[in-house]
Amino acid sequence: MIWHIARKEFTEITRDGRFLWSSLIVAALLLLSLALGASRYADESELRAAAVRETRQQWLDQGAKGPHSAAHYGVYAFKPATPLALFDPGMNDYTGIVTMLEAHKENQASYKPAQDATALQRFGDLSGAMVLQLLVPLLIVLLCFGMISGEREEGTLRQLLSVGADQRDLIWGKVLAVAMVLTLLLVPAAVVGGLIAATQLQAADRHDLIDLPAKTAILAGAYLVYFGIFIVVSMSASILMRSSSAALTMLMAFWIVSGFLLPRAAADISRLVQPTPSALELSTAVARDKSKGPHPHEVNHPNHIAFRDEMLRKYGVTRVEELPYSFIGLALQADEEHGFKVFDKYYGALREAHDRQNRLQQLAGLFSPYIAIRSVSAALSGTDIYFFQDFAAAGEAYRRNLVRVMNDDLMRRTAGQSNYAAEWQYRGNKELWAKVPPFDFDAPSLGTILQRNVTPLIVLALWLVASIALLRGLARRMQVERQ
Amino acid sequence: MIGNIVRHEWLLFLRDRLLLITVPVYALLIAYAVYNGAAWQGFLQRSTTAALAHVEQNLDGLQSMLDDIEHGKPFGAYEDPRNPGYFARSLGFEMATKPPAATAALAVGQSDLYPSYLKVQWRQVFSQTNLDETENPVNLAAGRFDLGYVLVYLLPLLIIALSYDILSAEREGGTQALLLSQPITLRQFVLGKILLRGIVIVSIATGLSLLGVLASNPGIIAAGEGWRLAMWAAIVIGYATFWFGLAVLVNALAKKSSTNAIILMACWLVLVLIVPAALNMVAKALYPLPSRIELVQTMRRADAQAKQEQPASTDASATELAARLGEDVVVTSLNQYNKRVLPLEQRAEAIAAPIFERFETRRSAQQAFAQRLRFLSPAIVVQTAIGEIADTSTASYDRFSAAVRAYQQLWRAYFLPRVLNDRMLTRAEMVGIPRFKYVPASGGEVFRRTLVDLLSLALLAVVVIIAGSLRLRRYPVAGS
Repeated sequence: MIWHIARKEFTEITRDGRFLWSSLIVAALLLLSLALGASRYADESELRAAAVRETRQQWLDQGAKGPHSAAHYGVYAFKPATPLALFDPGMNDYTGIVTMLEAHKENQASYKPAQDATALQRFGDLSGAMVLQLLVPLLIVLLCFGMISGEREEGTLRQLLSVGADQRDLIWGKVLAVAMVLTLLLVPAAVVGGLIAATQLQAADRHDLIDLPAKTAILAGAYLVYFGIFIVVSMSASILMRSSSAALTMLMAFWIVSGFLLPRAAADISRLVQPTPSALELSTAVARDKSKGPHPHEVNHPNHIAFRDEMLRKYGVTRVEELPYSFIGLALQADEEHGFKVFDKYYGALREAHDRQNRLQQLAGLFSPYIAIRSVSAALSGTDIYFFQDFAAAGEAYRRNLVRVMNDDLMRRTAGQSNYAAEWQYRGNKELWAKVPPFDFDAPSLGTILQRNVTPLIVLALWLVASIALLRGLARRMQVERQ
Repeated sequence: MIGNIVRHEWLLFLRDRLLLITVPVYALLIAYAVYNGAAWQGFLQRSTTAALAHVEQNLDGLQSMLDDIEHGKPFGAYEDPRNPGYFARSLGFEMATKPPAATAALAVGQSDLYPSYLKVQWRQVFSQTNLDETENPVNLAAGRFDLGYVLVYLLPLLIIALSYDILSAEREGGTQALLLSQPITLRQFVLGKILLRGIVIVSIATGLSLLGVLASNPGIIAAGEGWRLAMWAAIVIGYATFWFGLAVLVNALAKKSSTNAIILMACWLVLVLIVPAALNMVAKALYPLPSRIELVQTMRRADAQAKQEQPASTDASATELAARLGEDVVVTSLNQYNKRVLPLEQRAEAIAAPIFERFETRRSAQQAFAQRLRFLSPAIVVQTAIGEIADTSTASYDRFSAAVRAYQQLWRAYFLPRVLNDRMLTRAEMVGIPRFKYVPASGGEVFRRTLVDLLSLALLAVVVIIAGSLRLRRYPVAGS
């Protein structure tokens, strides 16, 4: 029975000109955004691969210079992207893309692409994810709002039920029909999108491909759940509301509140609950705490003198030239280690603040399935804030190793020399530079991503279960006339 | 007659449950947005003030170091503020600040994306540690809940909700024929309905916002910026008129209520979401910018090239220096280093300049393209105009960053001759460093630009109103 109803509804929908036009527009937008996303991804990954090779070569070929100068010269880390980023740019336009890794400083990634775009960027990106997260649900609403209320208004509901159609079959048949229509629309688009994405795979770095098939599968599953929620909610509204027009109004309101009002309100509230310091406060606090370090270059600074005396005592000598390691090397490394603690404290606190803001927003998904899918989709596509934080953490770990290798060499090779000679005369060479491995970054694994997105995944499942339960209840108790 | 309709509608209005919920919620959202904008303006005010205080504090510290040195306290080469090269590169700095305009609370605009203060030293601003705000990228991507958002996104939605069925409901309710048997034209009737809704919505939007903005910033009028508020209100009225006009036009098509709602929502979706996003995409595709990655690498290559061009440093003197011990060696070497490196950095920038200029040219072309095509969507026109009025638009921040670049040349020109001639800084010179001052676009300029926006909104509104009114003539009054 369900199957007959579904087939009848399916034919009816697909013969409707309005559906044809709106779904053609949605499909066109989807393909267009995927194609543009792919071309952007291809350009960027090619450029990035070239830049990664070049920055490594520059590091190796920097010529003979002091190890500390080399640490100042530093290397650049470029934020990679997984191929799924062409589908969902997520936060990519709002996170920096280049980090300078150098002595003394934990630099924050610079150049958010949105800063170089026009102000139109703030209206949002036309991406595959945007089409699936906002436009497809709207299409579902348009398909469903009049499905029951329309039959009721035209008097056909009474007829249908009087000829013995089970009302539950009727409702689930219609749900099935809408699902079939969406399949008709989205499967070809997904295949074309998949082909577009496949063209990117050869060129991609294998570090960016970790768990890619599984991530893609889960991503597709999450979107199916998301669409399922909208189908079931829309069908429920069509049963529940007095008229088609009221059902439409209610569903539009739901779509607006879920997709536009709540994401901003949640971001705003999370900022109120968990404020972050200003950039100036942060940088002054870091500078203030960093200046409690040994001041390697300022020979009359009390901290410098204290550190020198401590080293002399530790090694039981009276002059810095008698230390088993060069003093400047020791002081530079001690200064770095002091810096690590300061950076961990302040930037760690900032990361935690952002994390609390994110968790709060994920909870807001209880009122907006859009917020939940946005979070899951960006995470699986490698464009969420955690991917960015992983990249920043990898860069910082790399930097710490780099300065350690440089200072270690300086310490050992210039023992017994004056500070000046140690810093300005001793030269490292390519052999030393090669001791620092090339920078690489592994995209987070599927397990890590799922763990970070437990809340939005549960929220999506809850939405689906709750809306199905609601529809089942409504289907059982549905009346021909609404009082 | 219209007065009667307005009065009648007012009574209906008061009895409509939907309206009794949506209108207060709308007022609440506006109040929250005003509060939010004012709080953000306060944050910008505090942090730019703190940035300037930071400069003063640093200068005070450097002067007391100078006092110590003059009183014979021992000091290291890296502690001597008189060293012009070291001062220009490390010890001294200016914070170039862009304090919020008096009207900043009207739109957060781009002020959460671009830094409102930048540290200026010798190093090129491009290659400096950034002072971007610590904002969570998730929040940046979501955008602020400010008046700009409530106005551009939510105001049209409310207008649609209140007027999608002004005629169709009468038809569907069967009261239309009765109504039009009264001595009243269809157009008078529509005008009456729209006037009431328009007055309620627009007066809540402008009244609450202006009240809030004036309360949080009472100096606006005295500062002669009152016209900005008036212009803002005019923009709101223009935008609202456009959407009401569109609603009338759609109603005049004599479709079902639900069809009207769908058509109007589709218009909203296209004008507020799809056109801006598509234009952004087209602008990026037509005027692709060289990647920042490329710029970073260009700068590195230019550094290497500049170094190669320069004759090898006099290693002999360095060896000779190293044979001696003591701080004077460090001082000499620091001076030599700066004398060599400062011109070297300038040379590298000159080598890289064509690529950077190409970037800037492309970027301006992209911005100009978006500016020209903004008339395709009233939402973009409104966003641009309120950004200009609040001085938080992309153009404002471009202006700020151009001023910072120009100022940096001043900073360099101030110190470079002293470095090259081995002259120490005097106290007077330390105090007399030129300061940065942000000069926003003149009132006249902003007025002219926003007037163009206002007129284009008015034009769009007039077009839909005329179309709607023509269509109303052919409106099938009875039956169908």
